[in-house]
Amino acid sequence: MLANYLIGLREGLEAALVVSILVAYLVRSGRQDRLRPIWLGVSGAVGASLLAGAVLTFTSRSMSFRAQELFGGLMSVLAVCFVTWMVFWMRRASRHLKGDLQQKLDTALAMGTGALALTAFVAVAREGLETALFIWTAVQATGDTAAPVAGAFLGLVTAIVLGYLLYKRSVKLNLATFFRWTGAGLVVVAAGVLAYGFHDLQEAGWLTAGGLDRVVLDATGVLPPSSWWGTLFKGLFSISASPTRLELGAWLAYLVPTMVLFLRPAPRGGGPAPAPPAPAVHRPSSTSETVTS
Amino acid sequence: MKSALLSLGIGLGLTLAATACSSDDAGGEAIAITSGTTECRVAQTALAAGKHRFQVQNTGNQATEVYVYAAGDKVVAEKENIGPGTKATFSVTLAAGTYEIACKPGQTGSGIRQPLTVS
Repeated sequence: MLANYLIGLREGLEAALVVSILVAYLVRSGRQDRLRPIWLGVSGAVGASLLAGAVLTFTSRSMSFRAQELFGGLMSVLAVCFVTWMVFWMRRASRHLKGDLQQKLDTALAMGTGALALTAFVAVAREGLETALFIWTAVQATGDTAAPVAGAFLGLVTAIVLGYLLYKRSVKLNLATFFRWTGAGLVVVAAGVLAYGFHDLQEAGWLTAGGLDRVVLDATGVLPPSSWWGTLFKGLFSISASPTRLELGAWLAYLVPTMVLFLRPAPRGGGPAPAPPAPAVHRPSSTSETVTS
Repeated sequence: MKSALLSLGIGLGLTLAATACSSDDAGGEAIAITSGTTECRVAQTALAAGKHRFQVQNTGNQATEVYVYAAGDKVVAEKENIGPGTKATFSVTLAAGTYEIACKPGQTGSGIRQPLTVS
């Protein structure tokens, strides 16, 4: 029961964090009317995951190991692109929050609506398929006992409650503090997702540098995956307690420059609002490979 | 709103396409693997080369993961996060050779190993 609870909690935590920050951001900027695309993105991802998971569980179809890892890996890289875009988009838009530039903020929001929905979608869908497979197999097991599905379900509910508490807390924060902390938090989460994605791509055989057996450091002794603190660590930071060289390299190569760029002081003066660009296609692989190989 | 719906449609389509395209029938019965607290039972340890489906049943009290290793602990397939009391299925194409199946209750360590011969 506890083990299944922890799996549910970990799978749900990261998506809950991203979505609650998105929602808090829109509420803070007084754009509750923009919440609908977010919920559309979330429910779309939940629906698609449950459907795909059900097809794979209840029919004789099965996804090959490599295909599954490839899907997870590419979704992770995509999620990192969207979350990075979102962080910098929030940073840019927040400069117009003072009131006099409300119109420019509105323009930025209008252009970002589709991307916001997709960010929410990708954040949930990334772990969604795996979670759905887990839930459906737990449902299948209920012939013998209902404990697994109850545990997994309670874990997911806890993740959602934690996301809600974060939302409650963050809408009370001072605006500047809110942007700084949620943005920096998201950058850390994204770095973990990227490392995790690289691990999946390594497993799928797409990235061969290093190798899966090349574990740089092993902290599973202090952060056992079966413990609640190991679960919280993995759920919050996504980084594995025993990363491979490539994983750690990708994590650092993303985290350090992105954090520096994010924390750099905003340029003064109210120039024209830069239009939010389409989510930049990051090519983190090129930078990280120079680090790791 | 229109653009939100459009982007969503694209996202939905991609997810479902990824599942539909990559999934196919791995013919025959799934090979049962029982991962317990101290055991790792594999129903068949000699297989013909080709695509095989494995079904893991976790009978232990911790979450488990199962690996298929080729010589030198090269990961050929892996299924993690199998909760206690649940089952999980994965499929993998195996070329002739010798392999090891490892069950890792608690998801750490080198696991309980079983040899697997593919000819």
